[in-house]
Amino acid sequence: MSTFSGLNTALSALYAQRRALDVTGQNIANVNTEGYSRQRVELSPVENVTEPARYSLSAGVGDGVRITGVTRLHNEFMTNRTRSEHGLNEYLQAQKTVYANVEQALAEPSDNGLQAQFSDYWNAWSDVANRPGDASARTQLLSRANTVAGTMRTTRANLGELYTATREQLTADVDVVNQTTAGIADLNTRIALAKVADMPTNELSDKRDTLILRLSELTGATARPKKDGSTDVLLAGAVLVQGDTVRALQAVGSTTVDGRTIAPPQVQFADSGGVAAIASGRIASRLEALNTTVPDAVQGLDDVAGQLITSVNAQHAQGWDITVVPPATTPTPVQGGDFFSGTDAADIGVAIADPTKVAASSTATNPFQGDNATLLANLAKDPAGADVQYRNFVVDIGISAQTVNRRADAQQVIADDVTAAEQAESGVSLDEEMTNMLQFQRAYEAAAKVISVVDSTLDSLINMKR
Amino acid sequence: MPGFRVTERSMASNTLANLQVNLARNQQLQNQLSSGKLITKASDSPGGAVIAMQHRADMATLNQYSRNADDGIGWLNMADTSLSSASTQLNRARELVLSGLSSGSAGSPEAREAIALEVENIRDSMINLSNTTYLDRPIFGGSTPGAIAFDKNGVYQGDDGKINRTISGNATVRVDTGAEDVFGSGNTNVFHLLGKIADDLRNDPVGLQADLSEVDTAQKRIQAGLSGVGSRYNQVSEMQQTAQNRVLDLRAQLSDVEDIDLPKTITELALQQTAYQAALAATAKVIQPSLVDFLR
Repeated sequence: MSTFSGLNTALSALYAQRRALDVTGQNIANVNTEGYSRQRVELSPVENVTEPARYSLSAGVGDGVRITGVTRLHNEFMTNRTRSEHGLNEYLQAQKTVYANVEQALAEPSDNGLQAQFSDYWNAWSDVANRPGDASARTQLLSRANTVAGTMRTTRANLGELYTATREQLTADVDVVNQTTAGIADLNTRIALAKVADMPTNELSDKRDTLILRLSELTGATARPKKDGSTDVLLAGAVLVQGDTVRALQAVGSTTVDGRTIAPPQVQFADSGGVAAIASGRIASRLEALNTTVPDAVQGLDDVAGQLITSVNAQHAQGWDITVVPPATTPTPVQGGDFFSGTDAADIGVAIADPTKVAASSTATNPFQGDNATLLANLAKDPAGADVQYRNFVVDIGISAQTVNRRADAQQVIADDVTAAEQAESGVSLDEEMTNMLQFQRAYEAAAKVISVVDSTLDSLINMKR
Repeated sequence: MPGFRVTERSMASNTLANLQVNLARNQQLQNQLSSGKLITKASDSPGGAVIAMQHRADMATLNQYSRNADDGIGWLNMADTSLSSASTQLNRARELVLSGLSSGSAGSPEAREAIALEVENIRDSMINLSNTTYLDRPIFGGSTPGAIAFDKNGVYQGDDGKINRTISGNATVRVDTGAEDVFGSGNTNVFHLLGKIADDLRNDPVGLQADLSEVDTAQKRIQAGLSGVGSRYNQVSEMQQTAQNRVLDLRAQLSDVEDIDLPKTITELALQQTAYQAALAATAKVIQPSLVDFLR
């Protein structure tokens, strides 16, 4: 035991407290930094010499304090939970937006949506039935039929644009995934190197966790930490990032809604071409929108249009029109042809341009009898008709949208909660840092006092002989 | 888990989430108030939306029934007027036949000639009545594209088409009147009969006795036609009233389903705004002080 060891002990305390103050400073500096985990200085006492040896002297008191490390306080389980809840949340929020867009395209219920236009159209048939010889009633019928067909085509085109826009977003999202995985691989390399050199990696780890969270929000990817400090990222069991190697993803498939059956959109591994199983996150929602939600809506609308075209054309073919062949002035009735052209909502049109071609009568002998027009007007009430089918279609989408909205709202609360919990666990508390700061300040002052006391005792010792 | 430890950021993110929820609810109520609608898209209430769409379609159909009925009433009104006049005219013809009979073959040919002329006038005027049109369509002409039902000689020019109007989901009413039912068919029709009477007055007064009973038959036909028109008129106007009442009912129900309850929504909005302001005030107060403020 040296005479001056007391000075050394106090000096180690000065170093340690100063370092602790530095870390407090770092914590306070990053109080608002996203993804930052608070850090803590780990102190441990320096033990006295315990090995028995000839010149080993021990007074049974330790030799001060030592810094064993700066720990990053974060909870891996909580981080994992945050990733999975955020992945699901992003999926549901994106689905909610998709349904909102589909509903917007349909614009029902309203006074001027397709449903109202259907009603106007059927009523126009009643007007023709009331005044079969009146050219204005027939012209009005044709213009209303054109309105219905036009609205169906517009709605179908809007849904098609929604599909194309979602497909573009998918490509953009996959690009972000590839950038993010590259970033993770880079950080993995740097962390592993720093680990070997025994350098602190806390800030790098925070950065990597932020990137992994972003990846989870996009794809629902999960992470698996490894001993060398790197973290593997998995996509439903398939490796996406392993150490410093990355498997890039690519989005493939049709960019238009009509090509969806031939080339369904999917996300593949760029190297093998194998399908990447993405069950959560924003990309999962994009895939579902492209493969199910939007195509279903398009199909529903096509079915309504198909039903309208077949039912009206079938009944129209039963009737007789009022074609007048000059120079005759009285009609030479011709059996009704197709009223609507096309087969689905994309190409529905009105096949008739000449009002006299509307087959309003059921007999050739009485072409001014409006009974076939009445039968056509009655199609409005057909339980299997286009009107009812359209209503069911809108309501089905409404029910799905409501379900998604409710799930999304609930999941938002959960995601916010886990975020808050994680921030509570790993975030910086200013009160705590202030308290720590006081503690370290006082300890520093006390250590300085110890030095001055040891100094004065030595002074007494040195001046004793005078 | 929260409860162990609270940090500035966890509090801030919680508070922000709560403010977001508050604000979203505010926006929803504002939307409802400004649009006046509880349901603007199907997902707001799928059940309500299906009712709203169904009611709208039903209202459109019922309004059309009502318009069909208007048109039908027009037809039947014209038929009623012209048949009433025809009946009056035929009564006058019957009186003339009676006076021709009472003067008998003993009466002066000049007097009978005068009566015959009046009968011929009645015949012409009845042909005119039979050609009454509604919106340019002869109401006794079936579905004929032509402009008249009977020509000057009392020969039928129309066809056997029927003009029907759909006035409810399961009722169609014939709004024209079959010319042969009310005026008789072919050579036995009323115009032919009146021509024969004029002829008999001039040449064969004895035949007038038989003519009289035929006039009675013709009168009965017209009366039967009139009562038919009357009953159909009643049916159409009653069905129209029903359709209009039903539209009012549906409109009220639609409003119940779709429209906001104004006082309720305004109250909710006021409450919501108070809650939002309270949350804002709390946020401003809670985040502000920390130990930093008390360290010197």
